[in-house]
Formats: sequence, structure tokens, C-alpha cells
Amino acid sequence: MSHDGHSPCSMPPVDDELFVLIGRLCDGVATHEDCARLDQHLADHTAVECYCAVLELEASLQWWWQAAPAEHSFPTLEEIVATAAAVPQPMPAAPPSYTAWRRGADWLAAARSVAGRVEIEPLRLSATVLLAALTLGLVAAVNGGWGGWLPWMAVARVKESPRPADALAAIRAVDRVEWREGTAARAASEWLPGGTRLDLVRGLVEISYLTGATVVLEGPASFEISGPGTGRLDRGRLTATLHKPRASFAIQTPTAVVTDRGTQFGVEVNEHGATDVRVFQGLVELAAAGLADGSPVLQLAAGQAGEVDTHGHTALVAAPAPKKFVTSVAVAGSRRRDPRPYAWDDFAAVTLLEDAFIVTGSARQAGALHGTTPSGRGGAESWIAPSAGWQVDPVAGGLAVTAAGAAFLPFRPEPGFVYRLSVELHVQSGGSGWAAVGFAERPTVEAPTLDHAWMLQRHSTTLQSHRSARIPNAAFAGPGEQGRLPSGDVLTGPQVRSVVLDTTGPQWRAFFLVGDTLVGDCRIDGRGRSIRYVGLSVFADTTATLRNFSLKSFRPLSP
Amino acid sequence: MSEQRPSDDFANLLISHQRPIYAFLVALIPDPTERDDVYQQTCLLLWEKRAEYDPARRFFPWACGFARNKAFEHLRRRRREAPALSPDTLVRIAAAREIGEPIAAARRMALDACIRKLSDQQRDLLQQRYMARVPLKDLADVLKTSAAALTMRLQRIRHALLRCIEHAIATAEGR
Repeated sequence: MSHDGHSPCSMPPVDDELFVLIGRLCDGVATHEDCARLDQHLADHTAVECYCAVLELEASLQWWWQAAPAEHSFPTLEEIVATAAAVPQPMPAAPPSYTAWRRGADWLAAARSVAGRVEIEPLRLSATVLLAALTLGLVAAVNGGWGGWLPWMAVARVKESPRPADALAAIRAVDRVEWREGTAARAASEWLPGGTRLDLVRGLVEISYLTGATVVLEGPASFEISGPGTGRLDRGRLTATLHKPRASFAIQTPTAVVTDRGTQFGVEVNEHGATDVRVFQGLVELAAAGLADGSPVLQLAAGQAGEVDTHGHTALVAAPAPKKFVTSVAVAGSRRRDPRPYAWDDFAAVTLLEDAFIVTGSARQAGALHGTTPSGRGGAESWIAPSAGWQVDPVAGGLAVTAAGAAFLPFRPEPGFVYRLSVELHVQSGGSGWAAVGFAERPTVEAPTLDHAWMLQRHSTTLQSHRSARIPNAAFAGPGEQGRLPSGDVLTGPQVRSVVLDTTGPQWRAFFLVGDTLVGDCRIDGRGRSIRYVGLSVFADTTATLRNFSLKSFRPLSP
Repeated sequence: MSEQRPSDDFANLLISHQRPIYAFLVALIPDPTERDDVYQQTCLLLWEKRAEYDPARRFFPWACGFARNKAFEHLRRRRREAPALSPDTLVRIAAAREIGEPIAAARRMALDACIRKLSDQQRDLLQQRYMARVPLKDLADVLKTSAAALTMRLQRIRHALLRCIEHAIATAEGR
């Protein structure tokens, strides 16, 4: 017998069918056939024990990670109570949010602690528990003796804090918003966990999801952050835009599910729940909510419109009535126009690749860069780099380069985006030798030049005898050294250099920056579409240290 | 010291059983979001029914009855939409879970130790999978791999953890 009185589950091999089927069920990828097969297995009592053991583990992992210390600390209960006591706020009339109730008994524990009927422990709160504490009103209602509501002021303590572990999105901007009476008023830069509801009577709210989507909500509207890549619009109008290639985003309404396939679209839900969808860019799938087998799924392309009525009937709208969807709070006039020649919003941008060139345990030991994965984002990609002379410094961090060559990570640009490729270059010796960053078609690790849109920084801009070495820091449209741009950039020492690739128009363009200063730009010819890598390169006898490599993407909103 | 009211006793019972009740639902509802919904409904229902609870009875089997009913009610609705185990199987699973109170403290402690034995890459993957609650297919997109490959990686980690936990428990019990 096992310790808890159950008959033991003798753990099957990892490829045992029972174990595989249970795993597929846990991962949400089981088919009807998988479930039928699992039913057969689970006729046996021992198999039931194995099933329960795996599912218990699954739940324990969720508890473990949601209870694990977050990357950043949060207010203690005492701090929240103190804040709440200091600033009285009106009682919210709306029911608590879905997420706040996710951990049912946590709300109870938090409620009792805050109300002072049990001793307050110096509990470090997860954001989930924090939200749970905000639902005290209902607890008080059912208990009748635990005091009143915890004022919504508590939220204000969180909004300036670093990103909580359960944050799925943030409010990027608000414009002339009136929040529905009795609901939480939100402010720009506030983090939003899953389950957060936004109820506005009028005005605009721009929300950025961490998964790369932006939603502009137009009041009157009622919207919920329902998941990492999903939102629920119960009423009102929104425009959704994806900033990340090959990502997906979905909006659910009372009658429909609108799935974004890398695009920009508008959704409106009327007071009866009927859904109207307009596609501005790309492709959208429109399906009735609770889709029955055989119901049509409409694919809508740019310029098309579709609707789902209150009976769940889906239809293409041949001649949609004109409607104005707001695509950006900035467009509404609340912010000044961005003076840059390309659209960029670091808040809404998504990091595709990120490497601080630090040692990250088994994923990267000190030593050669080649074959290791980035320490930040892009963990599935491996660096293609020279086998020697490109080393990650285990003590100081950074990529120490002592041999000519180039290093690459796979990347394929897609039309409609702006990409910003950045790295901090510190060229330490080598006279007129240089280090560079840019895009490439082929991963030629032995040849230091890159193929497309790249820029180099020399150790010294002192004129040398050789003609080409007299050229100070330079940028090139590529390939190789073709298309050199005139530039007065002569900066030496550690510099963050960035190449911005703008693929939003029919003519792709590249912009070259030192810090945030634009030092040149050029057009990229049709060969730009053959870019398959981002790269770093170092020339000749140069030694250099490279830090904080990143590639971000941003999809500009339509004007 | 203030007088303890019946509702306080019940609240203490509910708080002390939150994890076993949740674990009971785990075996019936694999999807964490759906499970959380049912768990929340169960907690509310238990609170509403607190006057009916007889303190002479064991709390866990009493609470499990409500949790099971809520779970079956949910699964009946869901079965029309998505793949799920048959009602007969679910009844068998529920019966097995009501016998005892799963997830003993020893197993939780063992899990903590076993997670720390995983490689950084394995822990990173679990963190991405469970902390953010990203659907597996979305996570596969982020990691630029297939859902099948990702499922297999997770399978190996689960298997390693289960073996580690069993080993730790066996060692602790002197088996």
C-alpha cells in the first residue's frame, strides 16, 4: 500500500500508452479517440491510481508555480490594509472578477486576515491572492461579520510595481474615459491579470497583451482579459492588432468567436449580443460561439465584414454600413505625434529574440557561443557561430569576441511589421577593425560581413593608410559592403546600435540608430525578402565585447 | 479571546481542506481553467450549505459530494463540445478519490525537492507551461516547436518527477 492508503501505481515507462494518453489529456490536446482509449485503460483500478497520480502532479505543479516566489515582490497584506485605511474609497457594486475567484479558499483566507479576525501573517502576496483580497465584498456579504469591502485603492499600490507573475496585459493609454459606476477605475501603465474586467461608459482604452496584441476599446464597452491571447467583449466596440508574426489572438463575444491570424480587425457587439466584424488587414476566422459540428466558419480577408446574429447564424456582409473603428488612442489626439520616420512603440513591441550573453545553467555553460540558446527569449533557437574565439564571459557577462567571423540566429521577416535589432557593441582593440550587427540571408560564420541592412562600429576612427579603413563607422543596405550610406557617425566606446527593418510598405526600408539617434536610412530592394537570419560580426584583429542583443517586432496601426 | 462562531469553525474547515478539494477536482477535470471555475462554484456552494454540515461527520467526504456533483454537472455540458472521459470512468475516478485525502504533505515536500533537481531548461519549460497558463499549442508556437514535441518533453519531465517523488516517499518510509 502507498502512504495515503491507495493501492500503488507502479509508474509505467514514459512511452506507455496509458501515460501518454494521460499526458495528452493534461496538455489539452487529447482527441475523442484518445479519451475513448483512456476509458478502456481506466476500467482497471491500478490505471485509475496512475491517472490520479499524474493529475495530482499536474495540479501540484500549478500550485507550486503559482505559489513560488515571484520575480518581484508585492505588497504585504499589512501594507494593503494600511493603504486602504488611509484612503477611503466607494464600495464597488459589481461582482468580483472571475480570476479573483479562481482560488476560492484563498479569498476566504485573505478575507479573514484583512478583516483582522485572525492574526495577519507577513504573507508575501501573489498577484492572484492580491486580487482575491479585492473580492472581500462578497465574502463580507456571505459572512455578515467580517467588515466591509477592501477599497479598490489597493490596486493603485500594484500599478507602479514591476510586472506581477500573473499579468497578461497592461493598459497602455487612456483617453477621456468614464468608468462605469461601481467598477474599478484603471490608469495607464496598470498591469492587468487574467479575468480583469474593463467597463467604460465612454472614452478610449488601449490595452497591450504580453503575447503581442493590442486592443483599443471604445466606450461604452465591457471587456474582459480572459487569457494570454484572448479577450471577451460583452458589449461595445474594439479594434485588435497583432504585433507578432505567426501569433494568434481571439476575441469572444456572447454570440461569436473571432480568431485573428496575424492581422487587424474591428469587432462590435450590440446590446442584444449580435456581433459585427470588420477586417482591416490580414485574415480573420469568424465562428458562432458554442459552434456545433457542421456550422460554417467564415474566413474574412482585408476589407470584408461578417456578422453573427443572436441566433448564432453566421453570414458574410456584402455591403457593410460604414463604421469608424478607432485603431489607436494616439489617433484620438491624446498624444503627440511620433517624430520618427518609422512607427515604433516600445511598450507595444514584442521581444522575439533576446540574449544578455550570460551563463544560464545547463542551457549555456561558459564557453563557445555556437550551439547555445539565447538566455532570454528565443530559447528554441541556437546560435550558429565560429567554433572558437566567440565566448560567453561567465564572470562579467557579455560575448567576448577575439576572432573574426559572424554569429547568426534564424529569423524571417514578414510584411507589415517593424523590427528593431539591437546590440551593445564595445570594440576594445583593433585600430580600424570593427564589430557589426544586421540581417543576413546566409549564415556565413567565417565571413564577417552581413548580407542585408547592417551597420558597423570601429575601434578607432583615426584615419588609416588603407582607403577603406578611412571610412568611419558605417551602415550598408547590403549585401556585403554594397550600398554604403553617408553618415557622420564617428562615435567610439560602448554604443547601442540598432537596425530597424520596416516591412510595412511595398518598399521595405532600413533605419540605423546609435542609441536613439537616427544616423542613416535606406531602401531595401526585393532581396530583403530573402532575409533568413539576424547576425553579429567582427572583422580582422578586432577584439570586442557584445552585450544585450535583442530583436523586437511591432505592427503599426492603420492611420 | 473572542468567542468562536460556527461560521468561523466552518471557514477553518474549508480553508484547511482547500487543497484536497482542489485535488479531488483535479482528477475529474484536467483543464485548469475549467477546474478553477468548478472549484470556485464548489466553494460557494459549500459556504451556502454550511448550516447543513454535521460536525460529527468527516468534512472531506461531505465536501467531495458537492464537488463531484458540480464537476459532473460541468462535464455533462462540456462533453458535447470537447473530448472527455466517459461518465462511467469519471464515477470510478471520483470513487477512488473519495476514499482518501490525496496530495499528502510528504508528497508536496518531495515534489519541491524533485523540482529543484530538474535541469534549468526543464524548470524553465515547466514555468512557462504552468505559471502563465498558456495553452500548449500557443506555447509550442512561442518555442517554435510542435505541440507533439512539446507534449513529449513535458511527458518526460512528469515521468521524471513522478519517479523522483515515489523514490523519495519510499525512502522516507524505509521501503
